[in-house]
Amino acid sequence: MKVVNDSRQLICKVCYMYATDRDHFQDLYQEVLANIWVGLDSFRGEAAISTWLYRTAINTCVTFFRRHNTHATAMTSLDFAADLEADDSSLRAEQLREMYSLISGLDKLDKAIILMWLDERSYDEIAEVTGFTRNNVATRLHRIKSRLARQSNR
Amino acid sequence: MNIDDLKSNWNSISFPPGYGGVPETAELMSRVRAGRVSTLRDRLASISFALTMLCLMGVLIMIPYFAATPTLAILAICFFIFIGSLHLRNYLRVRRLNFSIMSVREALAAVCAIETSRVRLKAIAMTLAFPLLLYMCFTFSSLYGHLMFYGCLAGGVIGATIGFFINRKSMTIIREMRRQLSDSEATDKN
Repeated sequence: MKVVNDSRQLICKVCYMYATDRDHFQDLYQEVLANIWVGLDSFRGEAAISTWLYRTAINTCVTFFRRHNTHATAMTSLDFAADLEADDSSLRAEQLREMYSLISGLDKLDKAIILMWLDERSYDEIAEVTGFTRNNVATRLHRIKSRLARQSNR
Repeated sequence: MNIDDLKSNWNSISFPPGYGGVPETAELMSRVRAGRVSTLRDRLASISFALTMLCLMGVLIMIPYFAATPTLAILAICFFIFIGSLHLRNYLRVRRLNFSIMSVREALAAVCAIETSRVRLKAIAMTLAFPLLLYMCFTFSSLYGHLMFYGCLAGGVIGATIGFFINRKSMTIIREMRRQLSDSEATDKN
């Protein structure tokens, strides 16, 4: 329970990244908690607890396919996440909304990479969680950032 | 705003779990600990287990018919044992899934493989079941009358139609998973 309480922010960030609406977010959040509980026995302490939590949460979200909404589109329903921004200038909120909208258009593996990068995780940790090599993480991250920059400049 | 600006402000954005009606974590965890929350993995496992049990029931149901129609009974029992063992294999594969120790690519590949296996199993079952069902219809109608024939045929057509639509939805999911996996493999090669 302490593990879950200490990492609520992490779990919420992962679920927000993959959710397309509030119901989806609640489903993902519940699913992640259940998988954390089930997977606790397998945590041996070889990796940092944050790496283990990222792996569990992202795997849950990536493999959670809703049969009535299987196509990932550039949804703007992450707009509600932008409302959480504490520092409330409307231009800033609008920019955040736009950035979330662009990120929500990425595929699931790219979202995992960008999410961990935003959380200042090392390339090695991102590689360990995603299963890519370190070089692939760097390459993909570069492509993601270029793509986001191109799309935001349109 | 570019992505680097977002990164520098990322940790100042708060994601309170109580926002937007998310159930309190303590309440959710008590439900998880009590086993009142089933995950997608649990549901997939339940489906495979239920189908395995159905096949076992099919075997038990056909045993009394061995005296009257030995050929049909043997064919049907072999069919149920074969299909039941494939469902059991899927059930064991799902139970072995542990998202806490797999990488994201491994998890996606494992789930894709399980879903593909389920779709193939349905296709194999429908292919084998159709001639068996026809043979069953003719055998039972000769023993018990023509109404049995039409009843079996109607059941077969309805079951095949339902199976077709369920398979179609599963194929959409599998195509999406494969697309994401092939994107990641293309990055590896480059």
